[in-house]
Amino acid sequence: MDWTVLLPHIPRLMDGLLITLWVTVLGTLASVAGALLLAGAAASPFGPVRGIVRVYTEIILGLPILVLLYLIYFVAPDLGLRLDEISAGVLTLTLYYSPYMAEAIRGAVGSIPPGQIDAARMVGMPGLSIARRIVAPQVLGLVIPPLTGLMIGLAKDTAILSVISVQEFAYRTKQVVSRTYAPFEVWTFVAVVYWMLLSAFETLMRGAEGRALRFRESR
Amino acid sequence: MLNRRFMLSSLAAVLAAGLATATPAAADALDDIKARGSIIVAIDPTFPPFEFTDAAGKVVGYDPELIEAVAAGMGVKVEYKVMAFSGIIPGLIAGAFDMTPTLNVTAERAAKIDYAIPTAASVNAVLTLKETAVKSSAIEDLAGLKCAVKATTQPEQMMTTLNDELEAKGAKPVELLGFETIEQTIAALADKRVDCVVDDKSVLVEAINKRADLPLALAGEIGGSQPIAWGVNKANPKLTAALSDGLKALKASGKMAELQTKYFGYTTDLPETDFVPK
Repeated sequence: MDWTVLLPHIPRLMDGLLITLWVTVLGTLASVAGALLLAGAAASPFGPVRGIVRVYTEIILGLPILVLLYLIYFVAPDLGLRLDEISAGVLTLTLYYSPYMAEAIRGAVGSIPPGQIDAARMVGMPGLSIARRIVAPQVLGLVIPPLTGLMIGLAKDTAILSVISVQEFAYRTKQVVSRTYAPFEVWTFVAVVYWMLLSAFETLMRGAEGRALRFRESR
Repeated sequence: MLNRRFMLSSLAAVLAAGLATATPAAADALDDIKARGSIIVAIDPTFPPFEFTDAAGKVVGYDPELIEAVAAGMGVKVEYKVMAFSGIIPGLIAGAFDMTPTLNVTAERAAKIDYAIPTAASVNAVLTLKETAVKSSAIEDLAGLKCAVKATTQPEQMMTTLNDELEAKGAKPVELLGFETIEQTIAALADKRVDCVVDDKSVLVEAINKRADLPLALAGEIGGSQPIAWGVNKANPKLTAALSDGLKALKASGKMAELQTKYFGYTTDLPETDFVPK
């Protein structure tokens, strides 16, 4: 085993890691936005809107992300939609993860007892204040754990984008392995980097969850 | 695919180094072949179009046809010993058979075995669409354009090396997009995500034939070529010379060019001297 074989390739790997972080950030922001949209639409008073959300969610839940990625990158151009590899990758992550995140949001909102809202109305609170002061603080604490899990899933799934030539961390890793013939050293290094970053993110989000739930302690 | 073969056989050559010293020198195998009336050929027929097996399990391909033609010229039959490629170079060095086809010619191997004159060359080429921004397959004409390659393959590494040379000269590198399969590189070209595809020439010719629906065209070869030749034990210089003479006759008669067209879809000019890299 010779860890020094890695050294000349560290800049190449770090370029890839930056792309991974970039795609993860874009994918997460777009997915959360999409999830809010879907969760809102699922609560719509219009039946057809709720129906569309349900059908879309059912379709996505039944597709492997790799198949979705190939559809968007290799099949969509035949239908007139040609996206570059980063856009196709971010769109895939967004389409795939927003229904899961919407479910997490819906679950958290649904767990707020309706009695609280009725009580707030009784004391004359305006609707916006109810959302901001009663619902949002509680939902935030409840939604962080499942969202964190999904965000970590999304971050890990960015590695799949290597198959459509997004030159992220896993893509660069495969290249470096093919040059060094040192799969053990290279993949071990890369696994440790992924694990450290994702563990740090999880710790951060656990702290955020604690902060969001502070109101419980002061009860 | 040639690359993997090269790696395996490098390993085999290292393993065989021990065997080689233990082999006693014998009379030239050419005399034995004539006496026996057959030449014994070790072959791993899992390497189309060079050598493979047909539906009936018979060994066929470019090299088997060449070998059979050369053997016919020598007035002997061909006897195949089918085995895994990893065992072939060690066996050749140990004298277990007379020859083997389809070896990449390398300096390391040339220290252990002799080669007849090259029968083929592995060469990369540039594939484009017919109406294209690519003027030629010269690397200077590809600078700043996008090319699809199969990720982690020899063509990708070759293009990376050529990119380093471009950048050293102050030119823009070729932007390389790496995919998993040849179909995906062709799809990227068809969707105009890239300006060209770089891969082994015979692979690209096959793609052109398969995708007649697309306006595909070869812009030319790129990156030099690596000769492929038959290997013979160093103890048998007369046999090596006889095989080379047989191949020269097939070249002169046009038979070799005919077989190249049949199996590769193009013909190659091959060197007869100084083809072993230093």
